Amino acid sequence: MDILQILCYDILPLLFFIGAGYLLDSHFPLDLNTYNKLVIWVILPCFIFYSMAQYTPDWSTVVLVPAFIVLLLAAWLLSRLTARLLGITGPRRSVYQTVCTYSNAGNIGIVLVVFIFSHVPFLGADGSAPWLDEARGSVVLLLILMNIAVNIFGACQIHAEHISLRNLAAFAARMPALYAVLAGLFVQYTGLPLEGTFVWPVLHHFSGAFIVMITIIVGAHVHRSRLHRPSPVILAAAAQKLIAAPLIAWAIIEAMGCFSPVEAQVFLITASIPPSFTIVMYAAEYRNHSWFAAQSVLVSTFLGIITMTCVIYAARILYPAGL
Amino acid sequence: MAFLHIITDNILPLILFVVIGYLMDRRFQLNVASLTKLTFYLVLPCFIFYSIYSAELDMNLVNVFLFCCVQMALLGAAGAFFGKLRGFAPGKTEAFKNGTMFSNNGNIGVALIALIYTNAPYGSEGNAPYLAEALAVSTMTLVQMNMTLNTLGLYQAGKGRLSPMDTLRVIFHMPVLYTLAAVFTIKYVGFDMTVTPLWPVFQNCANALVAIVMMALGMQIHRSRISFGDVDAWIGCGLRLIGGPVVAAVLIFLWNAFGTGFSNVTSQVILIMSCVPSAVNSVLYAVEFHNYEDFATELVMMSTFASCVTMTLTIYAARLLFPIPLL
Repeated sequence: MDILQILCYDILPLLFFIGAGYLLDSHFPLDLNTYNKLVIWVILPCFIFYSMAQYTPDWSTVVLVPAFIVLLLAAWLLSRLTARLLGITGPRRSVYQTVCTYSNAGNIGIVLVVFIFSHVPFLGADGSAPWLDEARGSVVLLLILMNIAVNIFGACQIHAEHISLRNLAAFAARMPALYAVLAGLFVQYTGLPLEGTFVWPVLHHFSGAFIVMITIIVGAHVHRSRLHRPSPVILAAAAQKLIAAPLIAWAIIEAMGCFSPVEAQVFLITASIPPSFTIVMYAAEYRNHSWFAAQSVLVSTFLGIITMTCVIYAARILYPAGL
Repeated sequence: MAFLHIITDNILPLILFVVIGYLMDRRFQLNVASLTKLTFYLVLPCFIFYSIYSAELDMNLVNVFLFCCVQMALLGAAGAFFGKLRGFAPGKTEAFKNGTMFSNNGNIGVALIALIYTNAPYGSEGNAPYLAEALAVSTMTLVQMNMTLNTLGLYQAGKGRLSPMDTLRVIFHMPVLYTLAAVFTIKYVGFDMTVTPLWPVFQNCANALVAIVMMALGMQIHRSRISFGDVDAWIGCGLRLIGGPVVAAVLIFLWNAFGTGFSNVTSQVILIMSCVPSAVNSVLYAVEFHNYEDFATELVMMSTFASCVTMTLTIYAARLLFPIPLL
């Protein structure tokens, strides 16, 4: 029973972590700023660097970049169309569109992909996980793209601000993750033997802390936003993010036809991830329909439990990579 | 020189974490309590469960467990005596005891043992005749440390500020005791935890422990007023790093003379495990109960630095006191 296995070993552990974050936040006054700062400045860069140092990308991975851009554009256009159908206009439309477009690749996406590719059917006979490095490499690439997209285009949309090259460059230059990528590329290129040095265990332990920290953050966010009865618009946004987006991703994979099975699975799964909590943060900061943003993200996150399970299962059947 | 590896592979990474925590706290206003809560209520219980569940306990080594308890009690008595001698406030005595009784077996001790018995003169590539026994003994001492540090250590830190009853009430609201009860029950029953959905949670939390705890220590160091001229802290270091192995050596000789006796490999491992610097968790406990945080931090920091010298000496002494055939 593959689908039960996915529920049991991928979705449930994720829910346990999110639940732990929820409970911790409901019992103690947690300072999310501390977690965020540590993740953004230390833990995420180390994770990215560690993943890149372990996985040598070949040129076919680069195909994910245009595929990702097409996916975002298609999702964005579709949400524009449905916004017109549902009669959503003005500032609310931009929030609606961001919810339909940007995935929570950084938290839920990475954790799921790491879980998925570290157990059967993706295990070798000796208990090693031969696909994990490639999967992690691919998801890190998608994560970086998604981070750039949500933090620049998403933020500008919500703020109804003009997207300029200058904004873009200024944001990218402030992103520690970008420097981690550059350092990772440097190590790849020069072949520096990091594995024997004292830096390696540090990177290893930070990558270990990554999954715990980011899922706790999600749990705390869920705790801080109360769930209400979803309106039709919220459900429409969820349907687009959770069902339409993976379908679009599937079409893109088939149209491009040059994905490796692991890349295809990761791309499909990343497309099916619920919307990012970053959107809620921006909506609150710019005071643009923050209640609507929080409800949409929350409802999609809950419904995503079902749809993600299905997408992970479908990915396995469509693009078999197991042993 | 195999010992240099311990400094580069085990101590330097720990210091790097601490430095990162320190710098992050200086740059941003962070909140240590958010990390200690995360540790006490999620990461540490999972780590304890994971490490005890995956440890292959050799029941023939129960006397090693008892030995460690006796040794710990002696060190605690010495700490209490010293506290009385110097007229410490009760809270400071408890912090002193926590810094001397408990050591960083998990991060430094076990790695040290694994390294020593796979390298010259006790082993070489693919040939490590003493390793299995050494690891079994060090696992036993690690389990003993995990059990006592996270119960008794927590109690002692709390007793510095609260009445014994209040301390117990706090501890019974923490998951550590229940985790210990659960893991031994499950181990005894023989239930396979690795097939449950909880297993990835335990695994990932266990992986996260070191980074989170060490960064919290770095943040705490940034907040503490640390003076390297604190005589009490240096005496605590001495008791931990020199007193620990001396007590262990004397006890081993007594145990061999009057008790069941240990093999020389086991004796070496016990001696080496007793020279490891103070446990980092004692700082987190001090923070949690606001019990002499600065003093606890000083003890851990100083003993970690000083151990680079004393651990080398102890490893050498172990070779002389309990000789085993060299390769």
